[in-house]
Amino acid sequence: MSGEPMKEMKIRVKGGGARGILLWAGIAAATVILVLAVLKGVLGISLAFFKTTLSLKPTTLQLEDIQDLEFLVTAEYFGEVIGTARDYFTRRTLPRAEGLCVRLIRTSDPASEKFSAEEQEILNVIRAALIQRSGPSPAVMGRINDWKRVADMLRLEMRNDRFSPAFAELLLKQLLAKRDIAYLARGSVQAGYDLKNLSADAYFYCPSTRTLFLGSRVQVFGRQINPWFIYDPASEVFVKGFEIISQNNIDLEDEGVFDFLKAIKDECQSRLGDDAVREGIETQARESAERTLENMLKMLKSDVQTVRILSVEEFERQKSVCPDSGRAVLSGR
Amino acid sequence: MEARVKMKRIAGTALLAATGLCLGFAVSCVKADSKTVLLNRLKQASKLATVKFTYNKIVWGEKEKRLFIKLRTASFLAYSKIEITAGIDLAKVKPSHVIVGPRSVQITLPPVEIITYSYPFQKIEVDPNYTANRFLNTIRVEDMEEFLRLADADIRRSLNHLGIEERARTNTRALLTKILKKFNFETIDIDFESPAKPLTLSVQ
Repeated sequence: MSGEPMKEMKIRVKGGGARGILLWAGIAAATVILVLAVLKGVLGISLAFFKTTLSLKPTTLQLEDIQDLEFLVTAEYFGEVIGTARDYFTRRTLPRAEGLCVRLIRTSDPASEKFSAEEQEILNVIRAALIQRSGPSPAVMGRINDWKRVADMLRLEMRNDRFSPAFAELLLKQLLAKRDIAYLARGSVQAGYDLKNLSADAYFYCPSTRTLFLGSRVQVFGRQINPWFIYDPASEVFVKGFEIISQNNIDLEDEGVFDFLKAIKDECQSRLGDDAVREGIETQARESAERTLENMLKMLKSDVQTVRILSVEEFERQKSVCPDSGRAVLSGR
Repeated sequence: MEARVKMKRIAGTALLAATGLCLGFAVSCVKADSKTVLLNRLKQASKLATVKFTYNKIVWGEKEKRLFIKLRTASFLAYSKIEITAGIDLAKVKPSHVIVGPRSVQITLPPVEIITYSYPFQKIEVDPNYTANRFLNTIRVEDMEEFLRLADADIRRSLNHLGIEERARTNTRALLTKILKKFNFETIDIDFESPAKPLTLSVQ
């Protein structure tokens, strides 16, 4: 009798041991997974179990077009800009939204107005902003599909066909909640003169001052922001053209997402162009072109001492000032 | 008492090590990097662009992902265009490269170079039908940018084999001959220096 309880006890211990081993194995596995996840996610340590590889399949380059150029690039600007969805919405979407709201307010029958899919999308954001502005009040939510009511509410949010600052900010928040991205972009701008546009009467030589005058306008030849700004394996310099600073709700499967991304990149490109102009690329291009032509003419032993590139109006004025103007420069060696 | 002394020693050593690390970091920060890229700057140039090539490139990428096991591969497909202009840098023409006779001129021009290289994002069309996400393996916007960088690098590596140089030489020779004829030269001899290095795009 005294041995019975002992036997039961042993069996219980054995059973408890198997469960215990399983439990400990489970805890150990969970810990390993947790540690690996931390190493990968928090510390960014690359592990074979979590490896992600991007690769490109080999494809060829197909020649589409060859174009003959006669362009003299005389100034280059290298710059870095930031393009954000917020700026894009402020500069492009808000004015469009204001235009749509003015249309809605001014029409006698807002319900009969026809809107494109894109306009409809903007109107949906406006309605969401109106709901948020109202509280959201059940009375507003119940009648938000009534265009007449929407027009009435918009009247309160607009002054001189512009949104009130508070409503504009609310609308921006709604738009950014749907989709947001900010890019840091690096690129270049080139400016100079298209020699193809230089007609025979666009230049003259003034022998008394030994100056060659040209009447031509500086042109921006190109504004590039490429995937790589610098890709130079030889000197091991790799600088990205576009870098994502932050992003939210960008799903490449969403409709219109690529157009949206292009629009933000467009913002970057137009800012780069603006920066180049602000830095004086046009003046630099003109001065540099004058120097380049002077050097070339000197090397060709021409009589020309100075080259001046002028605007069309200034060019005509100089032509009338110089009495013996002509194109003798070209045979004046 | 002994433990307190030990603790003080450990704290002292840690403080010294931290100071050393900070100093080391500061020194490494001060040291100028020879690969520093200077931006927001204007530069004068005198480059004559004489030809522009437009190429089509299909960007076909794959994203492989492992979460202990290999997941299904996600794919990315886009159609893109590349515009490359080539010509010569007139600033590299030295007076000794130009020999002027009574009615003749002989010029040795610098080697052809890439004037502009453009991989315009406006002309990149992603094909949504074949840009496919998989379970736990999605193509994100960062991946798209990386695929485009891979394609860009691929194109840049093949710049030297696209026949750009020959066509740019022909066009440059034709353009300069046309211009020099206006200077009443009868004999115009235009030659090119042999390139010292393969065609690349120099930004700096």
